[in-house]
Amino acid sequence: MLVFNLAYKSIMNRKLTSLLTIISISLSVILILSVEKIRKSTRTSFINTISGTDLVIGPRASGIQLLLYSVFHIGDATANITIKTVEDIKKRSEIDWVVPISLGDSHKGFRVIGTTNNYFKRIRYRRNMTLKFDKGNSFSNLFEAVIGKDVANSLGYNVGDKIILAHGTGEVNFGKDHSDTPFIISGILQKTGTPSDRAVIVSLEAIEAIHIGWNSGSYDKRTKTIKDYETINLKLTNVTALFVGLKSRMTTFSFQRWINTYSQEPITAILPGVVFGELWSLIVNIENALFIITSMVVFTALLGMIVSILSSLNERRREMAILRSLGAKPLHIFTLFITESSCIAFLGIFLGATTMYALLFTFKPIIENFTGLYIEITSPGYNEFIIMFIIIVASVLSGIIPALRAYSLSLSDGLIVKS
Amino acid sequence: MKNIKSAIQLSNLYFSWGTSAYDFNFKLNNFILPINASGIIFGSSGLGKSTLLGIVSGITKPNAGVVEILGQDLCKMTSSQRDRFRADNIGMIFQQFNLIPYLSTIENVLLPLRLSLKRRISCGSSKEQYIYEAKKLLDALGVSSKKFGTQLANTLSVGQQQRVAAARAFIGSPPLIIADEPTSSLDEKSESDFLQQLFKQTSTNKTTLLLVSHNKKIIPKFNRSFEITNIIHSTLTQKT
Repeated sequence: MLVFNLAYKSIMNRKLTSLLTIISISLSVILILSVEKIRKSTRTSFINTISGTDLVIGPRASGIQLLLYSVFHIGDATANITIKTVEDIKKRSEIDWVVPISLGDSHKGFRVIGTTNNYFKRIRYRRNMTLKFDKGNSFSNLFEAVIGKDVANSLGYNVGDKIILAHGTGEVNFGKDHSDTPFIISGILQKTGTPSDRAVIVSLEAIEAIHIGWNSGSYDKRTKTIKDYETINLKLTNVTALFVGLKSRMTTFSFQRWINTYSQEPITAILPGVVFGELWSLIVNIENALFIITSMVVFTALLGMIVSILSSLNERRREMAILRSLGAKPLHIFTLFITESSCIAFLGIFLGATTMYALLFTFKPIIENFTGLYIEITSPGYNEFIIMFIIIVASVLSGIIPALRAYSLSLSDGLIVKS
Repeated sequence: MKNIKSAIQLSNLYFSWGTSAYDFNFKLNNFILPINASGIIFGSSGLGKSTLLGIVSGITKPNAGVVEILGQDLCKMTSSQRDRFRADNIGMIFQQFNLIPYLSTIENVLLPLRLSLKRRISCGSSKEQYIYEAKKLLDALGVSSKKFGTQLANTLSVGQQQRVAAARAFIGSPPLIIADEPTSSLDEKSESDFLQQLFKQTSTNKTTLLLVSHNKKIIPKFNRSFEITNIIHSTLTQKT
């Protein structure tokens, strides 16, 4: 009790130094916990880019490649799937729903997805959340488009605006655009933090329509007007990939095997969750590097605490001599210093953790709105507790350095301070 | 129980610091301070007065000899036992910077009670009784407990700090008080007042007092005086 009382009074006596040390520890705790929270949220957001889809089917390719172009709109498909194959798949009894997508066009750097209205109903993200409209509605006419929130924000679009799609996925289209078939924006999606925010979504038929007259990537002849396209029966020939929902998850692997051994066309089915895991493991080194950097910040803060206690040691030698003269054992002196450093560290960690959660709670909607990163506010998890425990152990260990110095000084000084 | 006649009895004491011939050496053949007596040690600086106090208080262990304090040989005790013995039986006053600066006057006085059950029991059985004892001592030593009791130690004058240190040394009635040049930072009047109150307390509490000082003028106030001489080998010579 004496040691705790003295430690408390000593800390209060050096209010400014103690407060600055507590703040520096709390800042490092905020940093390391935030990095951990953001790392976890990024991973969850990444994995939850698509939810409720049991399989993604595409032309034969590596799982990561298929996932990259179909879900993240990164890179291009090497081939397409024919409509006959799509029909064969749809006929399977395991199938609950199928959402086909057709890729290959863009608008000012944003990818265009050709799909059906089912896309807005079936494609989900972050624990089964559906895509919701911020403004307007889904497309009902052939040359109507739905745009993601980022597209709307960065290009300043609104419902009713006209846009022209470009052939290919490059930011510069070299005159290969579909200017003869402009689209009218029918709806703007709410921010999701997924690639849908950066997509222009049109119907599959529209994709088919704008490519009539195009051969091998170049426009040959303009034969029809928009009115013509709307009246003719557009026959789909192929799609880029399929998002599939199964009636029962029990059938996932057998159905995947059926797809992978489908003899009519070389196609692949991937389980998004599994491939997300593979993809994430590729960037785990960046994650580790980030963690090492934040650990260094914590180390620096603890070093600051050691320096502040060590620098006060000399002026406190008299205090130690007084305590020794009163019968305090060198161990009392050691415990006093350990208690002081531990109290400072505990306060720093507590302040850091509570401030981090307060900041998170306050800025969560802003972070979500600006970055699309969904941060789930939950009580500290296993990792957070482990981090805090390590910081506590590290701070107690770092308190040993000044405590040992105080212990040895109290032994050598005795009643007389030898300066 | 053993009938103790001397509060301090040192014999064939030898203490050295360092290994060369020019390093500090301290030798003492015989030194006795009876129970309830007051003794003063004087001599030039650097001759080992503080070392002797360290040995008597059990913080420093001599290389050889017998250190019998209140009938117990400190040399036969472990370091921890010596600490406990000091907490229970010895009150100390230093030259200056006697107090823990971040504690109040009363908290400083109460400190020994937190380290010694024996001294705590002699003050009473409750916190209120301990505080009452502390205030009584402060008032007796001329520091108003009402005015200065809750004030931080580092806000007191040097003279007041010395009196608070004396109150701390006396609380719990330890049988031996050791004072290391307690008046050296005080003016003549304050020194005289302080010593008067010190003697009054030792007489009231029936305490043995051992004091170290440079000031030869105060020697007559003590029952016994000892002079440390010889630069290399300090020897205590009993004057009276």
